[in-house]
Amino acid sequence: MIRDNGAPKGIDAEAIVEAAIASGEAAIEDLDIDDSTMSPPRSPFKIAVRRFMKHRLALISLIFVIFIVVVALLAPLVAPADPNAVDLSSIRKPPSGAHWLGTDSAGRDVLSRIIYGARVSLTVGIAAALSAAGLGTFLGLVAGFTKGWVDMVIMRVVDIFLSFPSLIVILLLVAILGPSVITIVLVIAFFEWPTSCRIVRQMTLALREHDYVLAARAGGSSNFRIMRRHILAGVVSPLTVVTTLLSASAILLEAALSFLGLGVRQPQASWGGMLNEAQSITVLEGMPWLWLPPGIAIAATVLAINFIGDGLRDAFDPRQTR
Amino acid sequence: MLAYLIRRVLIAIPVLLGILAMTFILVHMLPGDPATVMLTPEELQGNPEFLEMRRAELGLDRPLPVQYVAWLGELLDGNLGQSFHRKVPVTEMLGPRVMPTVILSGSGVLMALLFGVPIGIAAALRQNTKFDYASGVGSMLSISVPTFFQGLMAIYVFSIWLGWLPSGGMRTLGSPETTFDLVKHLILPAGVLSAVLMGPYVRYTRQSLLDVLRLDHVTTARAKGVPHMGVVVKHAFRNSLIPLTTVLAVQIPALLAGTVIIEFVFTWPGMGRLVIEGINTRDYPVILAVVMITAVLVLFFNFVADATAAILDPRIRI
Repeated sequence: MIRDNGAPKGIDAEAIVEAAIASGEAAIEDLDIDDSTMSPPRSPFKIAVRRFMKHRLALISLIFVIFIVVVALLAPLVAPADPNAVDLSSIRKPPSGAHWLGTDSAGRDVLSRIIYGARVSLTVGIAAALSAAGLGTFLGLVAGFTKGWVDMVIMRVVDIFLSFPSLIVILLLVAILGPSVITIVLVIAFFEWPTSCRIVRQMTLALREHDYVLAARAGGSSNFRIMRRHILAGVVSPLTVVTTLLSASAILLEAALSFLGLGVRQPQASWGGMLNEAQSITVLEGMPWLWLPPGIAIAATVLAINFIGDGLRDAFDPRQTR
Repeated sequence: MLAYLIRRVLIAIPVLLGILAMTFILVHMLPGDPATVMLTPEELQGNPEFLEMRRAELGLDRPLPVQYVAWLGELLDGNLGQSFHRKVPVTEMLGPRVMPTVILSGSGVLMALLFGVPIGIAAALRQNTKFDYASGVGSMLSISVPTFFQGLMAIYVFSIWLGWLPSGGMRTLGSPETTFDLVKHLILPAGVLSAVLMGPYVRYTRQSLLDVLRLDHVTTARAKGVPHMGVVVKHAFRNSLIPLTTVLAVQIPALLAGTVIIEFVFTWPGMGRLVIEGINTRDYPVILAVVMITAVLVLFFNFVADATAAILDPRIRI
C-alpha cells in the first residue's frame, strides 16, 4: 500500500502517481493506433495542453497568477507610491482618491505595500518549491534506481522528516538563523522535499521495469544516461503537479511566519507581515482596509495556484475523457 | 498479521532514533549552551574557569555521541531539560498547557470528521452535480485561505459584528468556571480549526469512495441486485474508510500547525501559544520538547493507523 503521509495539505500523492503511470501507458497505447484514423496526430503533451485549456477554473487561475507575476515584476512602475515612504501626517487613513486602499499605522500607502509584498510571496513560493522539488527529485531518483539499502536509508530519512511538525521546526530554525528571504526559502525547502522524493521514487520504481529501459540498458546506456533520458522524462508530469502545489504551501508558510512576526523583517512589505500589524481589536473592528486586502491577496494567490495544480493533474490523467 | 506488525515496529525504531538524533542536533545548533545560560552575568564576568567547571559538571565537555546517549537516558527518566527563560523544568511548564490543547484540537478534529466525511460521501455519490462542485470549491478554500486569516475573519464576523461569541481566551475573567463558559470560548477556535482540517477530509473521503465504487466487488453486488443504498453502505463505505485512518495520522503535523496559529490568534492558553512565547523569549528547550513530543506522536499514530488498516483490510497483512 502506498502511503502518502506528510503530503502538504491537499496533495494527494497516490492519485498523482497513479495518474502519471496511467498516462505513460496511455501514451504507449496511442502509438499502436493507426495514424490514419487520427487527425491531427496527438502527442501526450498536446493532449495535456488541450485538457488543461478545457479546465475553466484552472485557466482563469493561470491568467490571474500571470497577472500577479507581471504586477510584482513591474512593481516600481505600477505602485502609486513608495511602499516605505512614511507620512506621519496621514496615519491609518481610510481609502481615498490619493490612497486607494488607505494608509497604515506609519502613513504608508497600503496598495503599494501589497504590490511590493507580492514580490516576497512569489519569490519564496517559486524558489522554495523549486529547491525542494530539485532535492526531492535527486534523492527520489537515487532511491528508486539503486533500491537496496540506499533506498532503505533515504526512505527512513523521509519518514523522519515527515514526522516533524514542519511549521514549528521552520519557526525555530528561522529564529536561530535570522529571518531573511533567503533563510526562509532554504529552511522551507529543507523541510518540504520529502513529498516530491516519495513521488519520484514511486515513479522510478514503476518506470525502471518498462521494456524500453531494458532496451536502453542492452544498448549499453550508462545508469546516469538511463536516469536522465528515460526515467526523468517520465517523472516530469507528476513533478510539475507537485511543484505547483508545493509553491502554494510555501507561500502559506511564509505568510504564517510573517504573520507571527518571525518572517520577513519590517519595513520590507510582505502580505503576512501586513496582517501581523492588524491584530488589535481596534484595527480589526474599525480599519478593515489594513487587514482585508493582504488577506485576500494571499488567499486568492494560493487558491489560484492550487486550482492550477488540480487542472494539471486532471490534464495528465488519461482516465478523464478527452 | 503479527509478522506484519513486528515488521512495522522494526521499521519504526530507526525512525524514532532518527527523530531523537535530529532533535539533539537542533539542541546543539542553539546559541548559548545550558552552562552559559544557567550562570548570571556577574558570575560569568572574568571567570572563565568557573564556566569550564560548570560545563564539566553538566557533562558538556564530553564527545557528542556520549552526550547523545546520556541525553537519551535523561529522556527515559522523563527529563525534558530546563527552561532557559523561566529556569524551571520544561515538564513543569508543559503540564498545565496540555489539557487546553487537547480540548481544542480534539473538538476541532471531531467537528471536521462529523461534517467532512458526510460531505465527502455525498459529493462522491452525486459526482459532477452542483453539490459536488460546491464542495470541491469549498474544500479548496479551506486548504488555500491562511489559517490566521480564517481566524481573523471569524472574530470579525462572530465577535465584533454579531457579538455572539468572545474573541479570545478560555475563560471569562472573574466569573465561575462553568462548562458553558468554556464551550462559549471554544466554539470559534475549534470551528476555525475544523474548517481548516475539513478540506482534506472531504477530498480524501470523496476520492476514496469513488475509487472503491469502481471495484469489481461493488459491480458484482450491483449485478446481484443489491439495492443502491445497500451497495454504498455495506460494500463501498466500509472499505473507503480505511485510507481515512491513515489520513488522520498523517494530518497530525498539519493539525499542530493549525493549533499553534489558532491558539495565537484566539489567545488560547495551550502548547501552541507556549511555542510562540518560547520563540519570542528564545526559550528553545521548551520548543524542542514540543517538537519531539509531536514527532513521536506522529510516529505512534502512523503505527496505529497501519495496524488498524491491517485489521480492516486483509490484503495489507501480506
